[in-house]
Amino acid sequence: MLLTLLLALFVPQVDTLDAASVIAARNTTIQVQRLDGESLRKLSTESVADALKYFSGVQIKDYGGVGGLKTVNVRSLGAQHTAIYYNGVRLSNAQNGQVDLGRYSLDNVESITLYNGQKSEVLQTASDVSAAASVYIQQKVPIKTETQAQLKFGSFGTINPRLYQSFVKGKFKSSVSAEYLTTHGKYNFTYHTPAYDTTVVRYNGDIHAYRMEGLASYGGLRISGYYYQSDRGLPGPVIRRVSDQFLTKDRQQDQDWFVQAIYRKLINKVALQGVVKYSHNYVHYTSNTSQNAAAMPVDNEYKQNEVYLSASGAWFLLSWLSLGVSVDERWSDLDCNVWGFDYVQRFVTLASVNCQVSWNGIKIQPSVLFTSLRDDTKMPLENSSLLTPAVFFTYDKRWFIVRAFYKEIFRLPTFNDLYYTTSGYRNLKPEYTKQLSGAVEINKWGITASCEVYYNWVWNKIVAMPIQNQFSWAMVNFGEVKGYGVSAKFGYSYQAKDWNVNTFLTYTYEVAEDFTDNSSRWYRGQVPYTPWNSGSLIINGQYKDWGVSLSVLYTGRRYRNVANLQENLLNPWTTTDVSLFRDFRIKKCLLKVSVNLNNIFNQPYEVVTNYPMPGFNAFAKVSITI
Amino acid sequence: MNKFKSMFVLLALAFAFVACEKDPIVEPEPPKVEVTQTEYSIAATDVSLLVEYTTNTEFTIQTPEWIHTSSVFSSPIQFTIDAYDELVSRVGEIQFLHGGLPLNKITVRQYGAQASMNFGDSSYDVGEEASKLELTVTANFPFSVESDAWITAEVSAPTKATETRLVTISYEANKLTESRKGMVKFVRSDTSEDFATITLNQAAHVLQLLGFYQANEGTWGANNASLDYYNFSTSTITNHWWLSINPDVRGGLGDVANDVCVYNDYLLIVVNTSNILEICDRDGNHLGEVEVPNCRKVVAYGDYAYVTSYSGSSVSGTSEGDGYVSKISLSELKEVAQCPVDDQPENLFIYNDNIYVVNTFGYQYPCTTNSSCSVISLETFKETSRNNLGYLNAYGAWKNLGNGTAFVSFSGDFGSNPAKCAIVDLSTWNHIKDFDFSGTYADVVGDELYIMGTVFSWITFDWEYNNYKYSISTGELFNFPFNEDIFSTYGAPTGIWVNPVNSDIYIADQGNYTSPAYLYHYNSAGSLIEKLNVGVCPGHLAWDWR
Repeated sequence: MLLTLLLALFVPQVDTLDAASVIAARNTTIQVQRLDGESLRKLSTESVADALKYFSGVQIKDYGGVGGLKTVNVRSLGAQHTAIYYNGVRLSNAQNGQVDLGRYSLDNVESITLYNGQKSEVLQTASDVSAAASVYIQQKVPIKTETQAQLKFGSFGTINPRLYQSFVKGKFKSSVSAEYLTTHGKYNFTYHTPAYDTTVVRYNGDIHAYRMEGLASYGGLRISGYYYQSDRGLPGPVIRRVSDQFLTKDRQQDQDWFVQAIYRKLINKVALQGVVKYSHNYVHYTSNTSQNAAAMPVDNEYKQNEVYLSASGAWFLLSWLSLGVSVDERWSDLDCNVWGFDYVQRFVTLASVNCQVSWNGIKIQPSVLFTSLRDDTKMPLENSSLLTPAVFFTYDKRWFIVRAFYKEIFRLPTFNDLYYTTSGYRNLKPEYTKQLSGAVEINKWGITASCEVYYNWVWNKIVAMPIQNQFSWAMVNFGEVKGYGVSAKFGYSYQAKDWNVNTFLTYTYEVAEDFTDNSSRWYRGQVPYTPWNSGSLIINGQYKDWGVSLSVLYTGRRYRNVANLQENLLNPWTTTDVSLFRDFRIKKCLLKVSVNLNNIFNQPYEVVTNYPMPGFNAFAKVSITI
Repeated sequence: MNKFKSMFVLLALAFAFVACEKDPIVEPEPPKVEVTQTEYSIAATDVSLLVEYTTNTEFTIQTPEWIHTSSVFSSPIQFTIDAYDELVSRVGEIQFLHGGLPLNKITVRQYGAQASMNFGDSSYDVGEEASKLELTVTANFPFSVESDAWITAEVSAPTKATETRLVTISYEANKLTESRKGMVKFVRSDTSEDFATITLNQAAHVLQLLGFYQANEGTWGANNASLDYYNFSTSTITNHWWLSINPDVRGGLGDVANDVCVYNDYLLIVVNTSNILEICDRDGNHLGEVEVPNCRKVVAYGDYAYVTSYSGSSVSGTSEGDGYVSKISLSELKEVAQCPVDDQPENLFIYNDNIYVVNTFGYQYPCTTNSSCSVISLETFKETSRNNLGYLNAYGAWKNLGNGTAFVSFSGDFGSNPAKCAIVDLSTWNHIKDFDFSGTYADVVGDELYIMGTVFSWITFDWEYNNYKYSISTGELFNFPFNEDIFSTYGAPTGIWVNPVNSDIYIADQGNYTSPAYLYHYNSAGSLIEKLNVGVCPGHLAWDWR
């Protein structure tokens, strides 16, 4: 009886579906959601952020437009608790801890995978286990030599040509791609007041970006490089202005690049892995009073460098026991021309140990992560070291799987949090999280169904608070959030001779309450931008070379502020996207054509208040592969 | 005809006389009445007339109806005459008749009456409230009434003379803080002359503190600035009061309400990120908006509002500095002039026909330039002097102490130059007092300056607060009345205001800075009375005196 209750409580958890979209990653102790390249192509997605929207328990913060910042928040833990890994190595931003998902291409992506907790492999870097939730973006390793030219164009004056070349000879596989993206970013939005609505144009949302990527693989060695450069307008929030001046003229230029190499080798029962990475980020932000009389004059440049080294080993000792160990070293620095800012370097050492015990369908994987931090600057954060545990459990009966995990992890204060003269607060503690999660999954008769429950606790949240007066701000550890949620997923595939249909449905119920101050009126208010109810529906149909996909996203009632008042209530929204695609084979060429129709019912909505999203928009994509 | 008759009588008498001579027989004497005076003129109000006569016969008397006498005669006869109201004279004859024949007569002329009016008192002392007087007016002529603008006078019905009429004098409430005199004139309709005047002396309006306006800045970029109203008579606060009155204004109050000011019939709100000076009437009705880029604080005088702006680039063709003061006509709802000052002008006040503007230099990093005070002549709207205030970043309080000095607080540079405050002389610019504590917020009531400073300490990494009361006349500094650590429950205080009537103290608390917060209300002894729910980031308060 008790056992049943416990099971019911610890319910569910899933992997996912297949062909349709989200692929079940079997044989893993982790709760995984995954979209593969073919599914991504069928969905009407313009960026990595668009794709992640279809995962349950995920909230995307989207400031609108092609160039608007897009970040991902898993189970209301906060965007900075979600780590993004590109080709296996974490993308980090020591300055603000945020990774803009709008900058990573969906073309040539093999899969996007979301792990709540962490990956379950024995051989993994310490960095792989250092976040509360992890998103892995994996590029395709080419299997043959080919050339691809692609053009995407559509709404907002978007033109996005791309060239791709792969070269494969024996074990040597490589590819290189280059693309250019330009858009004026203007779109109409509806401006609401209690009395009436008007239609206004969103300006200063233009972006001009270049991106180059390269990949080379030989046996266990994989090297990849990435270069991104952009110049974009920051349209700012829509606020009251005289004479329709709903705009700022702020601009931002970015230049990011990195090179990385991963080497893996299996010797008898021992697997070894080495990783090395160097990355450079440059941001130039301007708010110029000569262009905009109202602005505060800002002309700041930020330069970051990072070197990352990792060594990991796994020892598959016995059939039921394996051990893993990893040590990571990360050096990063930041230099900027903000007054009073002193050059800062950060040394982070991560070490992790894990083992995996499997017996008769039961798999248990405990791990522990050691983190040591040292900052080097004029007034540094105190050195600190922390030990955080995690344990993962799976019971796999082929068509019936039970999973559960417990994990403690934290995020370090970023340079932004710490080292700006008027806002830095050198006494910050890491922002801590605890997660408890369980899931049940069933796979049978073409049906995949799963249910997960989780409980989260975040405390010592790092937030900005004004000090002294409203003139200057400081970062402080202020805030505590406890939350729990239930997600259900259902998928069904039907395959016939010439055609097939896949459907996939997710639903999430989520509660995340603010426990910061029990004397506050807003104690236990639902935290901002967390809908109680959200869900998605995807239906794919394919007939011979023709395909169609319908996707619907629903975000329910939520508040923009922990003050759960009517004035802060945000209306639910539903967007419906349709995409059509067809492949043509002309001799040796493969011609792929697709049309994405987004927000077909022209629903006005805002993900972030005062950042209106575009209404109906459409893109077409044509690619030729030889 | 009378003449003719007299002549006929004389002719008859002449014949008789001739006949006598001819015929010596003594004829009987003809009947006659002789009077000593045949014409009288009398006043309108004379009521009797004595007439002496001699006669040889019996006679009767015939009079007009306004002349009366008894039926038994003896000399002198007394006639009683009615008083006469009409303005034109009248003439009547008293006839002496014998056997139906006239023997003699007297002509009486009674002069017309004086124009007269009876309205009671000619001066009234009335209270400040609107009310009316009802006067019963009798006059013997037709009239109308005229009055000053704030008085309305009505006559019950235009009628002929002698009637009694009701005159209703209504007057408006006196909103001025000085007494005033008003006139009601009675004008003769027949001659158009001013006949009489009544004076109304209305008492001065004693201002009542009805409530206060509480501006909540809101969160930057969230467009959620709001204005609450607290009503003393009902002891209630209305959140989103401005929005409830102006649901049609697009964008609501806007983004970051940085100041609120009450002036005459105007309520002025500076909406910083929206670049708007919102102009309303005192009941909150939106009258207009004027664009002022990066507007900060507002004061008003005459028909004009004066708003500081950090923005310098719209001052074309000058190299005067980075900020300016915008002069805005409240009746025309537009900017009429700009006066360039120095960098980041923040607080300002009007004193002695000058505007005193603080240039903070607060946005500049490194912050190395001392703040200055620009003095602008109200008359010419030109800067007449610019004076060093002695320390860095005078962001915070800037209070006119009324005796030629001002209180100023300095935020410093958050580093080696700590926050301070001082009292400066507005003519010599010397520091009369220097205080080595933060004075971020302040308010003046009477002789007392209330100071509340907040500092973030880089040593303890926590907020530190201080509270003082300063006597302007004696220069003494006292500790605040609070006897407990009131700030321990605060997020952080963001303003102090003292009720000018009862010295109750109001302190705004930021709460968590993104959610609706509180305004704490203490009595003058420092005990908490109530905790009012206000909007996001309360920080600016204006008293509603009416």
